[in-house]
This record gives sequence, structure tokens and C-alpha cells, in this order.
Amino acid sequence: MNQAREFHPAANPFFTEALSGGGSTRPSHDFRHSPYATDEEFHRPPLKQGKRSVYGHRFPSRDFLTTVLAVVETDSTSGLDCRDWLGAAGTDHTSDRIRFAIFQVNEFEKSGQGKIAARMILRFVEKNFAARDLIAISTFLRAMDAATLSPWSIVAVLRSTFRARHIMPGWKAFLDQARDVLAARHEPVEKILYGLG
Amino acid sequence: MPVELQVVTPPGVTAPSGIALAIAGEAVTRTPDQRHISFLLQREEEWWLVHLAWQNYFGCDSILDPRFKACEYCYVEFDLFDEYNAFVFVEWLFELQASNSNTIPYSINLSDQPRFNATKNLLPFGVGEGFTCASFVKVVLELYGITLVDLEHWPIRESDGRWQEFILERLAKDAPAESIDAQRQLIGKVARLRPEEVVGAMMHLSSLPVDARNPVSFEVAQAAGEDVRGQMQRLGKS
Repeated sequence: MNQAREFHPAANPFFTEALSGGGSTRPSHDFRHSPYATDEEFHRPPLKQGKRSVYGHRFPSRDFLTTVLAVVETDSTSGLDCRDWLGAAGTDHTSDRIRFAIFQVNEFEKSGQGKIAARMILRFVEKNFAARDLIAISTFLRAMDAATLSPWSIVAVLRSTFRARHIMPGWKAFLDQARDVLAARHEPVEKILYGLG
Repeated sequence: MPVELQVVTPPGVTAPSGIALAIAGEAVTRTPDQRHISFLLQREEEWWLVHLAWQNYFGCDSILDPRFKACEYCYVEFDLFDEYNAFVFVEWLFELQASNSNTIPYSINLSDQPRFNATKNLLPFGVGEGFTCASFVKVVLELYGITLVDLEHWPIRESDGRWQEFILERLAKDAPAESIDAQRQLIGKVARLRPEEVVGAMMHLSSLPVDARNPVSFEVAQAAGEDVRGQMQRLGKS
């Protein structure tokens, strides 16, 4: 129905823009990004994603899961797409945004859709890396329980956060847990975790 | 170590893992003896060239789109991963591209990324930092946990300086002047990782069992890279 649910690259909001002309396009010569670490940038706090949703603060944080479930159940287009629901569920608070990402991952895992859960993880982590919000990634990582995740999600958590492993307090613990969990499931641990230490 | 390149033939590529490295010559770079490297990834049945093409151009280009000249590329399957990593790597690289398509500078500098400051904040690129198409493949793999080559012992070759001058001349049209100035200081002082050496190093690493995989040395990568160039010539894609 809605191709956005298929996670095809062309359905990605970023790709939609990039591929609208039939492919990613070379930026014009006038285009200038600002990738350099000025003093102002250096001290800038991490970017906050999103503005206040149309729902504002109608849904208190304590009822967050209830709210999300209600929205998901009543909306016929619900596919638990991160982009749509983050905007619709009052995610001004970082904690809500993270909690919802965790909720999504767990829901997909419970329904046996490990690959989609892995996509959720990768999207969440990469968006927050792009926003330089390492606190969000770290919080998300600590909430992940390898015992409840499929191998796709375990790999997604470890590989996507590998680059920041030295500054993420929960990374090594998650790796150790993942090793035990995968071994107990008789998966080829060394091959799956190759390069991760 | 037999390196067996094949020519990309849209719409299909024979690589069951869904991951390959693609390399092209003059037809794509429009420069004699200049090659370009790209990941070749399968997603939702379709194949995509995912690569750092130039300044601020981290592209994701369909091999079906004739503008990207996919049939001018040769490829070899990237066979380092199990089924879980093969899936996650492709998905991750697409997410990486989606979040960074216009923010990665091209540079002769062999930058290490990412870097963090003392307060554990992620630092943006410094002036003059960035990647070439080949060093970008290396860094992407490192971000994923795979150290492809041993760059600590990579020599600076005489021809590197000439190539760096040539690239900076072309890059000056698209990159900020301050970045070009910073890179000029590096001409002849930083090593160059060549596309064919990256392909060769990956092939070498793939041929080893998991517990014997160590970063590929310059000597091995260079020899494997020569093989790759020979194959490209035989296939008419040099």
C-alpha cells in the first residue's frame, strides 16, 4: 500500500529527495556545507531532532506506551514506521524518543521480524550519530537486551555503535552478553562477531 | 590468490551475499590510469553503487540508471560476512548514506574518523580532512569493525605526489579554499591508498579463515592490486 513501509531506499525520506531526479545528484558548485569544527560548533550541544508535534503535550510521558499503542491500533496505516510515529506521538522529550525506538525494536522482535527490528536500530543509531547525540545512542544501547534480540538485531546494535565503543559504557557488556547468547543458540559466534574484539 | 573480476551487467550481478566491490577505469573517471572504487549492494532485488564519488557526494546510484555507467565497472563479490552481517552491513550502509549524503568532504588526507573530544563529543571533519573513494571504503569497513589494511606501514610512493597535485587541481572547483590550502601542505607527505589495492586487499582477506584475518600489508595489497589492474585490462575496463 504505502511503499514507505517497505524500507526501500527510494522510500527513505532522505533518499526520496536524493532520488527524485532519478538518482543521487551532484551538489552544485554553490553548495557549501559547514563541516568544520569552529569554536561555536565545538561547544554546541547535540542537535535536537524534530519540533513539537501537532499533538503537542497532549499525551503525558507516563502514558507514552499506551498512547503509542492506541495510535498504532486505531490508524489503519500503522506500520510502526519510526519517522511517522516519532512525529505523531509527542516526542519532544529525548527520553520519549528513545523509549519509543526501544519499544519499536521490542515489538518487531516479539513478532518475529528480526530484520525489521535491525533496520529500526540502524536508523535510530545513524540518525543520532548524524545529530551528534551520543547520549541518545548510549541510552538506547543500555536498554538493549541481547537475550531478547534476534541475531540481526544483535549485529545491528554492535556494528552500528562500534565506532563509539570506547565512550559507550554499555558496549563491552552488550558484546559479552551477545557472545553468550549467540553461543547458547549454536550460532557461529566468531564469524558473526568477527572484528569486534 | 586468483582474483576473478566480472563486468557489471545491469540489471543483475552475481554475488549471493548481496555485497561486492566495484572498480572502474577511465570510462568513469575520465582520466587515463585513474580508477574509482564503489560498494555494489543489493537491496530489495535492485543493485546500487554506494560510493564517495567526490566532494560532498556520498552517492547511492542505481546500476539501472545509465548516467552512472554501471556497465563500465568490474566487480568481485565481497565475501567476508555471515548471513546476519551481510544483511546488516547493507542496511547500515544505506542508513549511513541517507544521513550523510552531502556532508563528507573529499580529501587526499588519510583521515581517521570518527574522532571524539575530551568530553566525548563527536567531532566534525577538520579543515582539509576527508576521504578519497578508496580510503572511504577502508574507513567504512573500519567503522563496521573490519580493519582492511595496515596503513601504519604504507609507504609514500613517488607517484603519489603527482596524483595528489592533480586531484587538488580538480577539487579546487568544488571544495572550500581553506580545505584546498590545508591539503596542499600534505602533497607528497601522505600515502595514497589506491582503489585496486583496496579490491586486492579485500580479496586476500576473504581467502583467509576468520581467525587468520589480519590487516593486509602494503606488499600483499600492492601485488593483489596489480592483479586487479591486469584483469581490468583484459576485460577492457582499465
